Amino acid sequence: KRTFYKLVDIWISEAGLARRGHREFIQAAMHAMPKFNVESDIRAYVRLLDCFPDGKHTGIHRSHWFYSAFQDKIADHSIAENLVSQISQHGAIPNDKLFNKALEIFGKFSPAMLAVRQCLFWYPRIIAFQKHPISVSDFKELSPTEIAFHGLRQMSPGLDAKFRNFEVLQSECDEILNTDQLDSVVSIQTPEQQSMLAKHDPDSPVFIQGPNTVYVKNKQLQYYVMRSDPKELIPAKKVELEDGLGYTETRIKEIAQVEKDTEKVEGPVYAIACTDYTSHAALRTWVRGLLEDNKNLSLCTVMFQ
Amino acid sequence: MDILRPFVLRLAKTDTTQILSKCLKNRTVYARTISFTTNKNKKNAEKSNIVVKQEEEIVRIQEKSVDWNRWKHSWKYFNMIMKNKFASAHDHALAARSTKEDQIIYYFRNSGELENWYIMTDEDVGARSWAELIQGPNEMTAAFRGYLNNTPPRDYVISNDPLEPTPNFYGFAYVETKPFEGILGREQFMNFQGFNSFKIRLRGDGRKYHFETLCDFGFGDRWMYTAPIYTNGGPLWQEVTIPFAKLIASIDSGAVAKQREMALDKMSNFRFLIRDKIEGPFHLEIDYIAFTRDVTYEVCESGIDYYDPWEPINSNSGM
Repeated sequence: KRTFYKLVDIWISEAGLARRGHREFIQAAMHAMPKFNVESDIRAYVRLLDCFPDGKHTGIHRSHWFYSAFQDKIADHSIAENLVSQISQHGAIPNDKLFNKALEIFGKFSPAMLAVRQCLFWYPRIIAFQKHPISVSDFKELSPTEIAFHGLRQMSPGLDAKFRNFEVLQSECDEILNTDQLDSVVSIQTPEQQSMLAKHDPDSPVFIQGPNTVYVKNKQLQYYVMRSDPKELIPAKKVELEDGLGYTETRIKEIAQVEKDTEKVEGPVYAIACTDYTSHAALRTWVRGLLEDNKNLSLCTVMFQ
Repeated sequence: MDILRPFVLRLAKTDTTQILSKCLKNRTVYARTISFTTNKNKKNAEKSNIVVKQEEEIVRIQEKSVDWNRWKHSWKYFNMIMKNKFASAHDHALAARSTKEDQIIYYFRNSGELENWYIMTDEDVGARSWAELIQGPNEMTAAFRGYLNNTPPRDYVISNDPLEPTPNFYGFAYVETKPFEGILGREQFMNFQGFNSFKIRLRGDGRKYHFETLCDFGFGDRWMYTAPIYTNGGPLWQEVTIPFAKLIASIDSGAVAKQREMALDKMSNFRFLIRDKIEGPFHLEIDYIAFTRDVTYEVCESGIDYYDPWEPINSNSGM
């Protein structure tokens, strides 16, 4: 990454105050950013804005709302538009420094500033749709256990869940994995799922459903689910409130009639785990680890699907 | 923290802080249930700059242009409340909506309800992604699944010249409702009045899908109002609530600079779109799509949450 900044420094020192050839250099640097691994860093984009020529009489600054339509040097503004679109494309987080520097160079009434304003406006409002946002540059540095943690947190709702990491010993399991893959079992269980397991009948079996995939940003994770067959639901008692005035609201609720249809067909989920192993020996370590908190599991039979 | 307990038991001779410093690198650790430090390890933890925080629910403050303290003592606020809480009683059909808290638009219990939707993919442009819409394995839900391919069609020439770059091609696929036809083939529209937000029950695979509606203002002005849905994935079902004011107006999948309120009288389509840049299989199961009314959700007079803070600049420069 440092070589990118060195290149820019060398070019600026060689080019001088007039900065001849700045358009070609900036476009070539934008094209070459992925090779230097700098595409998701906002500091590189802000440094590239220094390559534009400074001063009052360059002809780039747009200061009037009417005369900006008749002024020259349109290519400089279009290059800045492409630069800002690349910021949003690669997931870099826009800055106040970007705004201030572009304002000094391009002026308020330029199309480049419109692109910067849109980028700064929409970025927090689109991130607000996510529950647990991560930046692209932080996600690249995560280890496989941390990616599994993010994936399990994404899959299970609520904040009271318990995470556990179980090591798989080589004496039990013969499978060999690459260095990039998960060597241990990461599991999650909420207290609601724990209470449901405690109420489970030991006569009926508990299933571990086979490897499924989940996407966490760009990467795929492999996960297993501990589950049982569906049971007959006990309908909740209706509580009737007394209205003293004798006025009864007849409000139609259509979602409540349809909400719990899938529970008759799909059984409850007791726990979820992430691994890259495919053998049953690795999953037995998971079951043994869950025996600490769930004592009803020792009486149940566990079957692999 | 429970994650670290097996490390402590099996590697009792080594220092826990060395392991933590390698794994975490001076980062904050979010402990959900239990604090992990004993009296011994607290000193070592302070040296390696590890901070333990209890994880809290993220509360997002939405930026609004309205000064609510001054706004509430005005006649406009009173009018806004009356508009949002009570249904417009122009039509007899709408008067019945005031008694409804929810209304379900689509639920896929029968396989015959899949005929209302149709699929579009890359293949019309020349690329290679495919998709299908079938009854799910439950026999109660609809499954939209397929494979996204980012290989561009032959007509799409990507120039490797850095001075004239062309944007990369990314595949897409979407499921859309068929338009309603009235007498003599005239198009009929849906009415969203009386309600405040959508409620959708989903089960995806962790990818980003877009939920969109089409609004026809007339005279060829058709804007799609989109909202991204980041699916959780996994075996559990997910419920998503999207208020109308959070939908982003867009033309050709690009957000419009000056946002406008939607005309609730003239809504014609629903659409589920996938266009994230990941190449691979996708599947999405849909249980129901419904309207709801959220009385506590406050909206500005403009009816939309995306204001234009640079209005004098954006209007005078003609862009």
